[in-house]
Amino acid sequence: MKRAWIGAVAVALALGLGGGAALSRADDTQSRRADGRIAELSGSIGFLERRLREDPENFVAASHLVGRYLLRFQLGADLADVERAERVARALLATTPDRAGALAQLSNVHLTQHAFAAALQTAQAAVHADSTSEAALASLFDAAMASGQYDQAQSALRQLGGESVPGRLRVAQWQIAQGEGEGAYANLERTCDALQRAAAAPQTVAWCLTELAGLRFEHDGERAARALYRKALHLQPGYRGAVEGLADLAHARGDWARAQRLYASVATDAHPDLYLRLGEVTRALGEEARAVRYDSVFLSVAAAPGAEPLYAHPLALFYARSPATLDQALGVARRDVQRRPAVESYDLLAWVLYRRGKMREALEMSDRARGWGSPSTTMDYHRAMILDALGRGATADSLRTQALARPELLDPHLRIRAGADLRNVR
Amino acid sequence: MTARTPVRTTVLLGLCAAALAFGAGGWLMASDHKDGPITGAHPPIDIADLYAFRSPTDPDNLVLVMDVRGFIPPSEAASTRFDPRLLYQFLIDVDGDAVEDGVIQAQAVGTGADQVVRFRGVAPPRMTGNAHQVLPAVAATVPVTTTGAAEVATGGGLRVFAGVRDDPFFFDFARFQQIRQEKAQSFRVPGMDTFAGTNVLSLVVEFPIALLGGGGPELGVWASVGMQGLVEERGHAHPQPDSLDATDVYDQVDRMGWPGVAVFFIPKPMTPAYNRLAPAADAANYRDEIVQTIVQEYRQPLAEAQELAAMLTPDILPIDVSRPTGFPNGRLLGDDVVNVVLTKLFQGNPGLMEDNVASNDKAFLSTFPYVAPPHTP
Repeated sequence: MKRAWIGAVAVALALGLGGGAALSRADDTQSRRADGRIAELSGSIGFLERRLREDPENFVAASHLVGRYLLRFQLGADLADVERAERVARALLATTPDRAGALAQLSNVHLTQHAFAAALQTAQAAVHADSTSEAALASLFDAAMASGQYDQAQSALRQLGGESVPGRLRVAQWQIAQGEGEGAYANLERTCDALQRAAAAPQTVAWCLTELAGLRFEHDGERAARALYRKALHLQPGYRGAVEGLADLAHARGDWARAQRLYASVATDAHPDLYLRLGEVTRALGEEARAVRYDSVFLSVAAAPGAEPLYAHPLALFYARSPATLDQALGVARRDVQRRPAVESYDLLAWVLYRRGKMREALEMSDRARGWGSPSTTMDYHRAMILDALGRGATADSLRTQALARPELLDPHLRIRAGADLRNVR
Repeated sequence: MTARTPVRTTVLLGLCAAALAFGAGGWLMASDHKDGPITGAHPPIDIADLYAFRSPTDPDNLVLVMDVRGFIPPSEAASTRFDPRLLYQFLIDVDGDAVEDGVIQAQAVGTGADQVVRFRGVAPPRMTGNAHQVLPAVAATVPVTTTGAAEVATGGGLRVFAGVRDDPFFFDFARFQQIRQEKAQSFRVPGMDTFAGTNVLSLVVEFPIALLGGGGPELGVWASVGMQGLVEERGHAHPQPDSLDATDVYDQVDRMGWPGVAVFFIPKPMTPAYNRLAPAADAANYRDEIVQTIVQEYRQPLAEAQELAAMLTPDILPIDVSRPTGFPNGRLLGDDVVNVVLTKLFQGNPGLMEDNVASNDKAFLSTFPYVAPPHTP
């Protein structure tokens, strides 16, 4: 799978589908500004690789190297860094005295690859190696949450506790899933504050502020969120997550030109869903031919052989747009649920089933999606559409009204569609 | 991170990034590195090494060096800083009771390129044991040196330095761990210095021994790192980010006297408690554990184990300032402490008594701050 996944990128490049990158390059100033940090990380990576070549037993260098590869991927979005991280993390297992820590690192890499089963299995092995290891417990929580194994996640979180910074971050994630936004915000805000006060790397603080901005958007609106994204970019110029956050804000308020410019500055084959966003906003700007090119670039990356596990969600949503490709969407969504029976996957399947006209099964999947945690605005809207189609108009209206009270919180694939609904509701 | 977003690599990688800064990160271990969950989870807390020696330029002066945050690659030398939330301390016992009579404190101010470190002392501590308060008067403030020439400040009788330097410690630690895991039977010839080419954050202070106000000449020295607002969880202490200013008491989270006691001799589950305790009770609390470790893990006779354990408890580095210094009378930057320890641990096994790394990869300075300049790109 891994080879195919990397192959997908190679295929995309070979077919000249760097078209997306070419489109974005002209407006890529934000990304370029991360060059300083990327150069610093590259310097460290070069040093650590050399140390490891000189002494393959040097597990200290190997462990640091895995972390640096992932940090560089966060900024540079070069999938080869994830491949490198996996290779070194596997080799580390043979030399390190801290097997739990090394397995936790490998689990993190698998999760980055969306290899959910491998991530969970490896995290479980990490906890088995040392049930008191903070790294192991954190990796188990992450993998279990991503895989829809919520009991395991909760158990790991209980052992991890919520006072250390890694623990507090996971508590915040749990609270988000439970709809406890204020508690999550408080936890995350304190964590970001602690990171800043501890002179943590600007990239780390930028990550924290970017996550905080997402919550701030829900609670305090766009202006407050934008301030946090900008603060993150001030600390770590070119931080992709913050640029994407600003683009999402522009998308949410219908500022298509700004959204287009920002998405273009961070669109890359490693995150092809951004090509989808570019297609949406470009289409909204009336540039249909250009939008089709973005769609094409997206498809060439996300639908490349072996790429589906990585990009199942945006791929299913893309296929679900057109009646001609609904069966493909359904296949992708069903396989996604098999790989990862998480609430997000069930909700995606419910939406695709609705689009395919299989309303009863859609409702069943919606029920499963809502069987744990607190439903998102998007999940409410999906369900409203399904209920409406099943003739349960009153319940559907109530849910839809609830969802459309904050249409900016809908996932992007629904925002434009919901516009018409919103006008009707009003 | 809105409710129920699909898994995005940005989120997961962020957790990795945070992990690197605050936990679940890589191994950071020199003679005392990453010797407990809180220190491993938070690299700036982790004391790597402590050195104590009479000044080569003025034998009436004592030099103390504390290294923290090991394994800084050359390209990150310019951007690494001390954690301003921490209280770094040199503690000195002048009367042999294993309780500090004088302390020198260092605290960073600021988080960026303008970071400085304020030194206080030498003065009697406001509290003794494993909790301390900041001394009232600042003796000297020095800008943190990263890649440039060493910035030095003087004041209150102290000469001080704070910044990124070459890691003076040398050890084929990678092979040692292979031996410990029984994946190798002997050290390599020549050995490979696991820490070659890497940097640490160093705090260096030199002062007239007379400032200690009597006592001696047999002194005991150890280093500690303290943090405010700790909470207990799972038997470990963690900082509580929102209560950092609630108290002016800094609870000890790491300490070091002899090189590597916590790493080599204290069972891993016991290291958090060990790091948090003052050394005065080490003999009562840990001597038996150390004896057991030496007998069971290093397979040494009981009598030798008891002798070594007695020397290592309390975990305070002895230095008789009336005599020339050099490990185990204090510790010079260039002392091959590893071979001293290995010789004691593996008597009768020539392949294990030396790691075959004889010296540091960089020459030390002959003048203050003595530690070698950092490795840079």
